[in-house]
This record gives sequence, structure tokens and C-alpha cells, in this order.
Amino acid sequence: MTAVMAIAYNTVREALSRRVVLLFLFGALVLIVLSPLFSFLSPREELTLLKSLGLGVIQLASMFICIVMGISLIPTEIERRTIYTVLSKPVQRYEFVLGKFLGGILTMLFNILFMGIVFFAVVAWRGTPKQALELWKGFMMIFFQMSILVSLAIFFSVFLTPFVNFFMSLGVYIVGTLSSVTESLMKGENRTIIQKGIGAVLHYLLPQFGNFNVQNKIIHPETRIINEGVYYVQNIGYAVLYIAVLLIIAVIIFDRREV
Amino acid sequence: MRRTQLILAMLVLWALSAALQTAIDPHRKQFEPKVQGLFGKMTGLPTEYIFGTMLGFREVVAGALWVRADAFFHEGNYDAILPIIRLVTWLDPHNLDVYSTGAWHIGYNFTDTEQRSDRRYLSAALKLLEEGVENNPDVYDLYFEMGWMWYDKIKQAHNSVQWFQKAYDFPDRPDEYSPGIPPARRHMLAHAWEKAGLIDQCLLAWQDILQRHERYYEQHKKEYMARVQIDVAKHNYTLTDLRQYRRYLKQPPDTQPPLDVKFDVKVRVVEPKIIEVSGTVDLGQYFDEQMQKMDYRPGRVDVVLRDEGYKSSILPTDEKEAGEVWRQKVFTFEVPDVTIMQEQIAIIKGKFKRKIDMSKDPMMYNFKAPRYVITVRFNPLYAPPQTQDRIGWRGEGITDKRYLRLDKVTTVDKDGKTYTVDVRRVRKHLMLTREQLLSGKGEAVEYTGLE
Repeated sequence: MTAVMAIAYNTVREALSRRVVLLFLFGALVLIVLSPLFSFLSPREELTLLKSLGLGVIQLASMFICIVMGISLIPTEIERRTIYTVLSKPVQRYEFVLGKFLGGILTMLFNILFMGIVFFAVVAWRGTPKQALELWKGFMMIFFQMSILVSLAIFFSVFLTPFVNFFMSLGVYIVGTLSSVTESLMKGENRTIIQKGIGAVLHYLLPQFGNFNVQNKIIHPETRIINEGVYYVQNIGYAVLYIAVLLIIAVIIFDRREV
Repeated sequence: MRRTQLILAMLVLWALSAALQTAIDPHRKQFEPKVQGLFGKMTGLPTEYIFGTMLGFREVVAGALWVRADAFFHEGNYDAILPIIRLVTWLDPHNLDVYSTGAWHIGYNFTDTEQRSDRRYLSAALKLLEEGVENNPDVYDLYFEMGWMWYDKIKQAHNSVQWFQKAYDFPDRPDEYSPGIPPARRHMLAHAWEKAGLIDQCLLAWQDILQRHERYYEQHKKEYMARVQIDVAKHNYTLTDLRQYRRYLKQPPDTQPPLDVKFDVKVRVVEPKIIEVSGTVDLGQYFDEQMQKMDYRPGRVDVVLRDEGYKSSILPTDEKEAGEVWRQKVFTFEVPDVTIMQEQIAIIKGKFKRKIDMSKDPMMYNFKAPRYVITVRFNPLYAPPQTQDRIGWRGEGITDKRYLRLDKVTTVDKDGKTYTVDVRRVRKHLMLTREQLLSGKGEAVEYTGLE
């Protein structure tokens, strides 16, 4: 476990010093701070738009940070040949993958927290602290959504080049956000068996990032959600299971890879 | 061996995640649009909107589109607003503003050159509100809007009662997020009972409203409006109670003996697609000279022209023959390809007369049918209160030798309980042919096919 933590620590340190990650983070922070200026887009419901824009910016920035960081976590070590040093020590390959993943999600946690605190302050300023406090559910779900994305990028990175990995991760993320579409393809009336089959494969095989989109409830707090707590627990469980599946496959492939 | 175990573990975990996904699916729908297949419906959107929506900016895109709709509205480009309303409700089904403003726009703003609204759209407006209620059952707003559409636009208060009741049930005045109804809006329920001709229910509603206002005032004594609401509710309760006494309970009641209104209607085609509607509803003798000097208008008659055979439950024609044939099952902007004209004409000194021009709006009045039925009706339920003082809420004070009809108006409350009252109305159906309307000559004949 010490080895995993050491790798995770180094991963966080390296990731946070990467210019491209900081660029996305800085860009997101600027957008969040300036988001009140966009209130003209919804003059009568400024706070609605503010929350929507802020949560959207955090999600989008987190997605790019995740992918850009995740695709390079393992290939960079191979490219720089630092992996030889690591693996020559009493470190198992699964520990290496696990350490990289842990480092990745800790970096994400830091980023989301940082953006979240700034956004919290903006909403508290334009609205009330109570309204700002409700944002935490959104931050939490974005974090678990991004944890799956980090594990997906790591999974692809053990057998794809970073360039291909970028588009694969982005593509799966976009398809995965359309949970309602794949579900309707699978269950909808007037669909052929083939269409239903494709829908089912996409729905159950790909990670369903759309599950984590709970922004509408936060944007419209007057909306009543039945079993809201259960929904969050189910999704956290789903994220943990799916991350475990992706990491196991990544470990199996990485084990057989010549490094 | 270790690899096999890992694969097995992975398969088990994946199966568990799939099972969890099945449990998540029904819950997820609470957070997103209810309309299935949103992606396919978005093909008309500009690319930036589609990507914005997919990348988590659904509500931002909805807000931006709604601003665009506002710009179209100010440009007078009403047709462009319709698809935007549809898209915004898909993208953000909890945006109450879009449902209420959208339904108002569809129901009220499509007009001809003389500001008569296109009644073919009313069904779409109602359906959009129904969809809004379905997506937002826990806020009062759209129940109220639905009630208002029935009460004000369609003028069938008996259908508005159940919606105002549902809005009424929400707690008084919202806190930060609570979906409570503003106190003054509760008054609409009592008004709806009254316009439905159910005065006892109206008085009970005022009593309840008054008690609620008094309780609210006890907790918010510094609020000026809290005191005002009590005064308004007391005033309305007392006035309605007094009116009930004078109109029905006093001996003899003010509504008796019934006035012979000598109802009759003539409809002439004076130019192509221009008709002149004239007739008598003789209420004038009741009003004294002072009121005549004030040009007091004791009421209006409803005039409806429509294709022969076209029935609608939301036109002021005859509820018995209309049924529910015209209501949309699924929301659509497509309107029936028929001609419907609806107008109201004021009664002045016992007579009414108006030229109605349908020649400038061929999109609204296409005149494709061979024959047209014109219904002219005087409805005491929506007459001014001073007129009702003589003729009663339900027309007890009118009679007519030829055109008096005894209509049963049924109100269904939110619990499904029914209240039926007899309403005495005068009504006449006439018929014009397409040739007459297009030639600009001819006079309508009495039509008995609907009696």
C-alpha cells in the first residue's frame, strides 16, 4: 500500500505542475468568476443560469483535465523510461496502475474542490449561502463521473497511443452522457431487434456518464425528487463497480504488456 | 490462475454494474427531460447548441434559446417562437417560465388583423400546460396557469375549478424554495366557483381564504399586503353573500319576474368574407336612465363561425354537442385545417351589431368547407355583475319565446366530485354556404341541425 500511495503522491505532484492542466483550471476559474455577466441570457432567472453555467463549466473543465491528464499517466512513464526504475523495485504492476488511478482522482478532487469553492463564493454573492450550499451534490456527482473517466483514460492508455486515446475517451464520454438516448433505443417502441440490441450493448457496456447529471435538480431546487438519496448512493455504487471493472481489465492487459 | 480470477471478478462486477444501471434508469428520468429520443428531436438545432447540450450545458442552451425567442417575439416573428418553445421544454423540463409564457403565447398571440385570436391553437396551449404539469407536479404554478387558461381565455370556469383547487392546496407563500402559492392567487378559486354558477361553493371558498389570510396576518403583521388581503376577502365574501340574498332569497327576488330578452340574430354577407352580425338581447329596460347615460354595456354575445360538422369542446357553442373531439392527445403545433372565427359583440341598448372581416387573413380563415355554422350565444355566467343582479348568475332572470336553452353545466372538482347546475342561455345557430361567403352576398338561414 505504501508503494501505491507513493506513486499516487508523485502522480498528483506531476499532474498539478502540468501547464495544460493548469490552463484548463485557470480558464474554468475565469469563466466561473465572470459567469454573472452572462445573466442577460436569462434576465428573469439569473441564478438559474448562473448555477447552470457554473456547473457546466466545472464539468467541462474537469472532463478535459481528466482526459488530458489520464491519457498520459502511464505512457509518459514509459516514454521517459522512468517506469523501469519503478518496476525494478518491489512494486507490482497492479500497484502501479492503482497508484496512477489514485493520483489521477486525487488531482481531480483538488481541481473540483478549487473550482467548487470559487463557484460557491460566486453563488453565495449573487444568491444566498443556502443556495450555494446545495451545490455540493453537483460537485460530488461530477467527482464520481470524472473518476470513471480517469479510469477509462487509464484503461485505454495501456494499449492505445495518447492521440487515439484522447478521441476514444472523449467519444465514449459523449455517448455515455446520452443515457436516455441509449435507453430509449433499447426499450423504445417501433425499434428493430438489431436496434434494440445495439441500444442494450451501448447502455450496459459503456459507462453511463449521464447518470451523474443531477444539475437540473440543483438549478431548479423547487423540483421534488423521489428517493434522491437512494439515487446518489446507487450512482456512487455504480461508479465504484465500473471503475473496478476498467482497472481490472487495465491490469490484465498491462500485466501482459512488454515494458 | 490469477488472470482467470481477475477475469471472473471483472465479469461479476460488470454484471453488478449492469444490474445497478437497470435500477438507476427509472430514477434518472426525474433529472432529465421526459420526452424520449431527445437526440433525434434536436436535429434542427444549430451545431453549437447540440454540442453545448451534450457537454453539460443543457440549461444554459435552454436559457440562450429562450432569449432568442424573446427577440423573435419583439420582432413580431411569432411563428419562429413555436419550435423554440418545444426545444426549451425538452432541454429544461423544469423551466416553468417556458411552459406558462409559451402556452400564453400560443393561446393568445396568434391573431388576425383585427386582434381575434386563432382559436385553433387553444388545444395546443392546453396540451403544453398539461405536459408542464406532468413534468412539474410539485409546484403550484402550472396548475394555476391551466386554471387561468380555462377561466380567462376559454371562459369555461367550470373547467378551471379543479386546476385552481390543485394550486390552492399548496402552502401559503413560498420560503426560498417552497412551491407555495401567493395568497392573492387563492382568490381565483372563489371567482371560478362563482363563474361556474356554484355560489355556495364560492362562499365556502371565501370563508376558507379569509381564515387563511387571518392566520397568515397573525404571523406577518408587519406586511402591509397581509392586511389588505383580509379586507379584499371580507369584501368579496360579503358582496357575494348579499348578492345571493338579493338575487335569490329576498321575496320577491331581484331576478324575478324573468325578462323577455326577445333574442334574435341576423347574419348577412356584406362583402366577400365579410359578415355583419346583428340582433337583439333586450336587457336595456332594466337599467335606469343614469346607467344608459354612462353607456353601460350589460353584456356581450359570443359569435362563432366554424365548418359545418366541426365540433369543439372549447368553443362557446354548445357543450352537449361538442364532446371532447378537438383536444390534442400529444402536443403539436399543427392546427386543424378548418375555419374558426370567434368574436364577442357588446350589447348596447338591447341590440348588438358588428361587421366581421375575415378577408385579410386567408391562413386563419381558409373557407374550404362547403357550409359554415354560425352560433350566437348570450351567456349569463360571464355577464357583468350589475347585469347578473337582474338576470342572476345562471340566467334565472331571463326568458325568451324561441331561443331559450336550459344547459346543464357540470363542474368536476379535483377529487372527481361533480356539481351540476342549470344555466338558462339564449342561443341561435345559423348557416352560410361557401358560395355566399366568397361572393359577398347572401343572408344566413336558421340552422336546426344542432338542436
